[in-house]
Amino acid sequence: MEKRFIASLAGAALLMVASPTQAERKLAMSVHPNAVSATQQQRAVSGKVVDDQGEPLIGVTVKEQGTKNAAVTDMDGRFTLSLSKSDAQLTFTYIGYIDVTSRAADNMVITMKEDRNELNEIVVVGYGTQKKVNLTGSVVSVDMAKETNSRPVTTVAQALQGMAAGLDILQGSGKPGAENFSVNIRGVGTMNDASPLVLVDGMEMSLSDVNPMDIESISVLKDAASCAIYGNRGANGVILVTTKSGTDGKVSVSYTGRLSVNKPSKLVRFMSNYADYMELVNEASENIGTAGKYPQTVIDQWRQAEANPNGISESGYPNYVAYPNTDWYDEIYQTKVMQEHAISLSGKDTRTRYNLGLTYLDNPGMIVRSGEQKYSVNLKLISDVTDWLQMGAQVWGTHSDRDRNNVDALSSWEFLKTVPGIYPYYDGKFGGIETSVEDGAAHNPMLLLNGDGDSYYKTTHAYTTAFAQIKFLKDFTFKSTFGYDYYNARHKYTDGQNESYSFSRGEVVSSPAALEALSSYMYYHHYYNWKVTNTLNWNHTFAQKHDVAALVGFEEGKNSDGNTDVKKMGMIDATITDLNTLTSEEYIRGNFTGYTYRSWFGRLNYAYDSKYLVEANFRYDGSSRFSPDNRWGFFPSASAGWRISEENFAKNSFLSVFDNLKLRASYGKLGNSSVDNYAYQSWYETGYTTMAGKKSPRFYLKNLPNMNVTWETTKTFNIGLDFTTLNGRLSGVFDYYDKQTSGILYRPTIGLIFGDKVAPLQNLAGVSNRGFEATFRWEDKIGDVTYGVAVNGSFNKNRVTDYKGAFISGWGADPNNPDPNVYYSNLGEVSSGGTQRLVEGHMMNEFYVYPIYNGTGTYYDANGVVDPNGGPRDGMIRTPEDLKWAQDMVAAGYSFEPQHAVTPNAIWYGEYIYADTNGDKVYGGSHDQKFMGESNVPKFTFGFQVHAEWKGIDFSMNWGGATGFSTYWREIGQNSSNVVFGLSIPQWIADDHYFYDPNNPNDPRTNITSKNPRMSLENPSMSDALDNTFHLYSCDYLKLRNLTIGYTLPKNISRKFYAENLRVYFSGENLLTITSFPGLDPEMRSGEGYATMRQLSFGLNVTF
Amino acid sequence: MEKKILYRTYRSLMIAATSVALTACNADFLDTQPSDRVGTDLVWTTYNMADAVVNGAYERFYWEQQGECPDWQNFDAATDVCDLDANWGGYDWARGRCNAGYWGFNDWWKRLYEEIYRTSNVICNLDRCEAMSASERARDIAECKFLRAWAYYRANVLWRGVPIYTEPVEYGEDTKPRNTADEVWQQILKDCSDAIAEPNLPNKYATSDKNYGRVTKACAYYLRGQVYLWLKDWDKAASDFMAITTMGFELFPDYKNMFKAANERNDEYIFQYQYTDDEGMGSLLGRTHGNRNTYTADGFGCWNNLIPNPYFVDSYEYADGRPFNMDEVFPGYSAMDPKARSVYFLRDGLDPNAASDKLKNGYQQMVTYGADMSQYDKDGNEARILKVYQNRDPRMLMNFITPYSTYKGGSTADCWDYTLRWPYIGSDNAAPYDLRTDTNDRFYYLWRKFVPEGRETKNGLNSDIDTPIFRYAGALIALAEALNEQGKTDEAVKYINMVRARIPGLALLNSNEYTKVTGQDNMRERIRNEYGWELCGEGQLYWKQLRWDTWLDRKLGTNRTLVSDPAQLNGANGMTEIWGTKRYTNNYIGDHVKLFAVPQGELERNPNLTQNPGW
Repeated sequence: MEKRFIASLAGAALLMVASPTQAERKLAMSVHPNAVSATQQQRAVSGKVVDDQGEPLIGVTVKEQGTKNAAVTDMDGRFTLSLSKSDAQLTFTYIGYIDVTSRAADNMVITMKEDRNELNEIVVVGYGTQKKVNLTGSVVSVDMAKETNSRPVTTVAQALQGMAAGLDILQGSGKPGAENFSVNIRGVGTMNDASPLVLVDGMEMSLSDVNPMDIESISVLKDAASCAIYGNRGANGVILVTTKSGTDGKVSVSYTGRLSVNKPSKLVRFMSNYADYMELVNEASENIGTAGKYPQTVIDQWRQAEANPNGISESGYPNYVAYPNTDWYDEIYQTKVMQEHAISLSGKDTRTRYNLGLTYLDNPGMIVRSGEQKYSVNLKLISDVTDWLQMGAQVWGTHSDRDRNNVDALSSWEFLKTVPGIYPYYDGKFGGIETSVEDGAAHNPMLLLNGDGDSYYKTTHAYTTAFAQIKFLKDFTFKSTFGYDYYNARHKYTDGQNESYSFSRGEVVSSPAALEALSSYMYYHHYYNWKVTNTLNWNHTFAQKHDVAALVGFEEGKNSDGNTDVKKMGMIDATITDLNTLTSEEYIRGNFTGYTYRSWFGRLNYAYDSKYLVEANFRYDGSSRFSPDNRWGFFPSASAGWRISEENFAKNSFLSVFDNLKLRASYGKLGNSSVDNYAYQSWYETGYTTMAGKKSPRFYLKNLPNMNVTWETTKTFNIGLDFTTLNGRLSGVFDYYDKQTSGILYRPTIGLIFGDKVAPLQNLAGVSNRGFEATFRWEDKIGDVTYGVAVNGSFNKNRVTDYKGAFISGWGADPNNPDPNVYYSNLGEVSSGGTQRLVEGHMMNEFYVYPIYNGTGTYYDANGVVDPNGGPRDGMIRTPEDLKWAQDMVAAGYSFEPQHAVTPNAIWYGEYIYADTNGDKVYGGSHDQKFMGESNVPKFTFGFQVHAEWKGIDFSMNWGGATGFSTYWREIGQNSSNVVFGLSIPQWIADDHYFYDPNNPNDPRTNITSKNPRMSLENPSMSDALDNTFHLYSCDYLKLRNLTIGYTLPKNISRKFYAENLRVYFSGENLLTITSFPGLDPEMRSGEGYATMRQLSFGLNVTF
Repeated sequence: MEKKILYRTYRSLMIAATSVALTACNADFLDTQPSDRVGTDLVWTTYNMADAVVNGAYERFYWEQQGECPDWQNFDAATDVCDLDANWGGYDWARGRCNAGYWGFNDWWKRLYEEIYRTSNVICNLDRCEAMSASERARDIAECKFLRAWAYYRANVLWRGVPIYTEPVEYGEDTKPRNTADEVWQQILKDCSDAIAEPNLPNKYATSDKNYGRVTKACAYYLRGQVYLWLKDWDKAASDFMAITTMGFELFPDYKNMFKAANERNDEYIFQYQYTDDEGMGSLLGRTHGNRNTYTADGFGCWNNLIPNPYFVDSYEYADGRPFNMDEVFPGYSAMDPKARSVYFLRDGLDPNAASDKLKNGYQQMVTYGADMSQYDKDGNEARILKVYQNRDPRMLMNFITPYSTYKGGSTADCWDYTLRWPYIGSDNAAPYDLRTDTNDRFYYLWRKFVPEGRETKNGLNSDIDTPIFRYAGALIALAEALNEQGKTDEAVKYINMVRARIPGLALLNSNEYTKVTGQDNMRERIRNEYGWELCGEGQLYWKQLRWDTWLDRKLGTNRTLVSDPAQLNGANGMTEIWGTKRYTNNYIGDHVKLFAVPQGELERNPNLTQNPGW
């Protein structure tokens, strides 16, 4: 779309200057071809230019070779040109299409083919655009219009997943409006905000704030050369979003609509049979030597009721209500239908181009009261006031309404605290516990989701930009842009009365909360940012072969952020919830923060004969976040490209198979200041405490100061190769990068002597990311079938290069005490974190956990002495021999921590023991953790896309995946064998866990081979007590993100509906995930939460 | 031509320069200041701000007993007084299941040193505030010296020797080695003595005084006296506690109602953690002591995380001083299997043929459980067990909810009286109004102390009830201890009797054959018991039992080195149902648990620190 837009712009401009007069046209039309004499000095020729679909092409330049004669095709693709000689050769050029040269003839029909090798593709770069062939930096562009036309994506990040090498995007949640995508370009380079800078038409935004339907294209700038112009925030890469603009002369209205069926892609279910649940809890109690919790009489009651579910219980309610067996996930998740409608209107009126986009999205999610309704508008107006002055403005806004309930607690204890013996809702009442032996705190999750009073999140986000651009002295362009961004969030939360009822006992379980205890709170958050950018461009071509371009610019801006938080209590009635009507004030809070920045920047491009390309960038940035002495950072970069394919030696050698072959290299330095707004200053925190019985103000020192903090810097070296071959059918891009971040702003772990204080912010750490990226694209046509395949992949190696010194550990390793009998470790000094650590020589936040023991299973050596390496093979005590070995080990002076005792409530059958990695005879001791070589950031990410079109039928698939990352996950009710009263038990653990009763080895429940530990009423049990490898899961996955089948009606049919274009499609999102991770979604890197959606959608695109 | 180019260049530069000038004219554009915080350079410049820093030093002290972890509300849960509900984590050293990396060690080291930092900051810097009068500064500094001494006192009991920092630590200079325990005691004595010597610090504030609740000299005397008890400097200890008796403190006449928000300003409290019902400023003791019928704003009730241990509850004597023994009431009781004994605690009316399903099921439930139903008295069971709780030291019923006693709940607007019965068949809003707990599957004693009744507090989860740290009764018992250890046993009896006399019906020492003090050792035993019966639930006993070195004997048992099965330990040993079955038992991992481990991470950060032996 981008290239078409540029092409039509150029065409429109030429039309104005070179359009043939009516008279000329009449003349040309009136001349009969056969009547033209070869001797005529002047003759006119006319014709039509069409694309390979037979559709007219507007704005094609037609030029007689060797002359200045030229014309441009009109709305019907027609042209007329006066020729200077009879056997003239005409060249037809159109941006994005392959040039055609043809001998002039009357009524000629020229078919131009789209230039699939994309040599002429235009790419948006910092403060401008560039032809892709002339790029020397590492930039990927994604045609978003194509993605959003067919996929039920509600966020840009979702559409970008798997589309570009080096762009690693993982979805954190399925909750509408809070999908929590993490976006990283080329690994994580800093402990501070590592997400890329996102600019929407030049204005800084969050990807989640952009309406996908408004987007024309996206450029991802990856290396220092392309990002340096954004020095102050470019260190993590830059994503440039360009929204749609008005196109050609005709008013075009298009409509896109779709309906999607949302379902959870996966669920980890709780046990749903209460009698089974009770028996299992009893098993967990008896396993650790205590009495079972549930009396057999109660279990029998449920069994009897289950046999006759529709019978009427003594309380008068049906058995299935009074003695429930609730599968909570069936209640919590529901299949819902999402709908989206977008209308866009665009066109051009003489001098003014315009675009209006309206989108309505109703995404109900999959859980009651968790949906989002979103309204977006985008209005863009660009006017060529004179031939030297262009002015324009854009208003872009979105409003989001989200219902609010307790759904965020889905991953918390609060939600897990439920049992199957509660009925969700019946007869106008929410169920509570049905038996008095149940834990009184067991909740009804449906009450948590539905129980709140009037509660919502509402946000309104608007930004405007206005610009003026002056062209002067032929080669100069001056552009001044002002942008203003306003965001307002209004949250309300109102308590509900939360009554629950026992249907079997016919009585209220928990009484409704008193009106005087009900509270309502409002939270207002707003930010408003402004930015001014002035740029001056100069372009000149010397001696036809020396292309020079220069850019200088100035930018400054201010970001302001404030919030107000008010809570009152005491309601007159649960339905009257406005603050005015509540009786007592609980609190009023609020604060304000902001920062300013100012920058100068510049760029110089030089190209010789489109063969040798050189570019230099600089940016000089000042930030209010640093002290006046350390405020300014200078970020230069340089890059060069060599188009080998343009060399004569290449054209005459085997290299001639390449239509384009370009070698690129770049090096540059970038900055990051994403730290606290007042980073260098030292201050006391304000707040309240009780003094002499009254609420009184209190201050305390929290941040220790460091006046010397300054920019953290990232230096990136990039070398890349672009090629196109086989007549543009195959193209590829390779990049190798070496990204070194140093002086990372960080507050290291501080000694406990400092109490609650945090260490001074310091330019402390260094992180290296090195990696390789490759992209291949194949586009071809066989008969009527057009098809293409694109594959991309990237590998990244992350290391902490500099932190607080080398990690030293070992016997006798203490530099001050060579005693080989003393174990030394400086881990606490040189690293921070816990289960995920930051330490030199390892990847950032590498997992550091206790390995599970593994032994030979031979128990004793030849002399019958207990062998420390002879324990159970996979570390679980499974057999009486294993247990005896453990007891003998303890007798021999070894100890197993932290449970310590070999007894039924500590280390026993069905529990894992930990390895003694440092050989101090303590298994699971203070130094037995190991680095695991993985973090929760993937090492390898990849995507591949396939598309095919045949006679109006289109098909596409998008696959993506990532490997080399892990997550630590241990949650009661989800993947642990530990049981807590009143908490759910995961069904899959219920179905498969260790069981062995030494007093009754023939118990039918016996299972001594399961990987899952015995059910245990200890929390945590031995197996779960230390963060260990058993609960560290690989998150490697491959997903079919999308599959779309569409059909575009033939024009003659669609025109019957007054439509230029009419397409219907079916699309499936998140259809298949291949992974070994047992939790919800490996991408979420967590086993629980709001499940991601599987969507089946049907949609319609119409253009009038 | 060249001139023209120059001119054009000049003009374009002018345009660029003008536009730059238009936007960049503001030279201090990049200087920003926060408006919700106060710069370190400004904080001493006004009275209000300096005063707020002093309040900040107090805040951390309150935070000891508040804030991040509800499991830590009461050190009594590390002792034989009560146990933590098994659903929760905490007190892992007492439960015998941790190494030096345990977060609790970390947490307490950190929070005590934060308190030390904040108080040292005031002590070293408050005089920079000229806007505050010299006398007020002197008073505030004296207060902070006491608070610092208090933090060092706690740290020294837990670790016995910690690094002494008396100035705010500079970054990078947290490398001191541990001082000896004695050096820390001396530091505490010095801070307390400084506070006592400060003329601007009053002995006591009247309950009507706006400063009531701030540190007084009495606090410093109390703490210094406690340190002298540790140092066995009985003479000095006695004189410090004696000094307190001259300052106008008196025992609050109503023991039970002293622990109510309405009475928290009283002449018995010498120093207390203060709470209000403002958001986030309440006590968590209501939450951990309260039950599901306790009123909370969310309607779900409190959590009874801390379960009183029968080992302790049964230690309460009869009111006349006669020791209590269950075997006297139920012959053979202690020889019975604990599950079988449960029969004595059952409600009336259980019957396999009862018309009510609940009573029928309840009977079956107890048969299944293993109760010896041959001992069941369908119509007289409750009356029989109630005798166990009659005529006992009245403080027992004031501190604990015992079987078949009632508690005024707030879970419904009618604030019913709920009765602790077993098995539970009740309902919050209908007869028979059984008391509902978070541990409804078992039968435990419950706390009454600090638990709001009816709807007297805004939210039981964060109640406004203050927790005393020093109260006059404690000072009197400590005085008695110091006197008795000097051999002045008769004089000691006088002070114990002052405490006992406040309780209606409780026999005074030497008033009958049971209360006859037979000598110094006998008196020592009586003093220690008195501490427990009087102060339980207030988080006091762990510190005292460590001083007497009776902690492990009581928590785990005197046979702890002799038996390998924790079930055989003869101390309180675990979360115990009223009749003696245990939800869990504690492990004995060595006597080294009498001291906290120096946090593992801190050892790795500061190589000058040394670990306590055994960890």
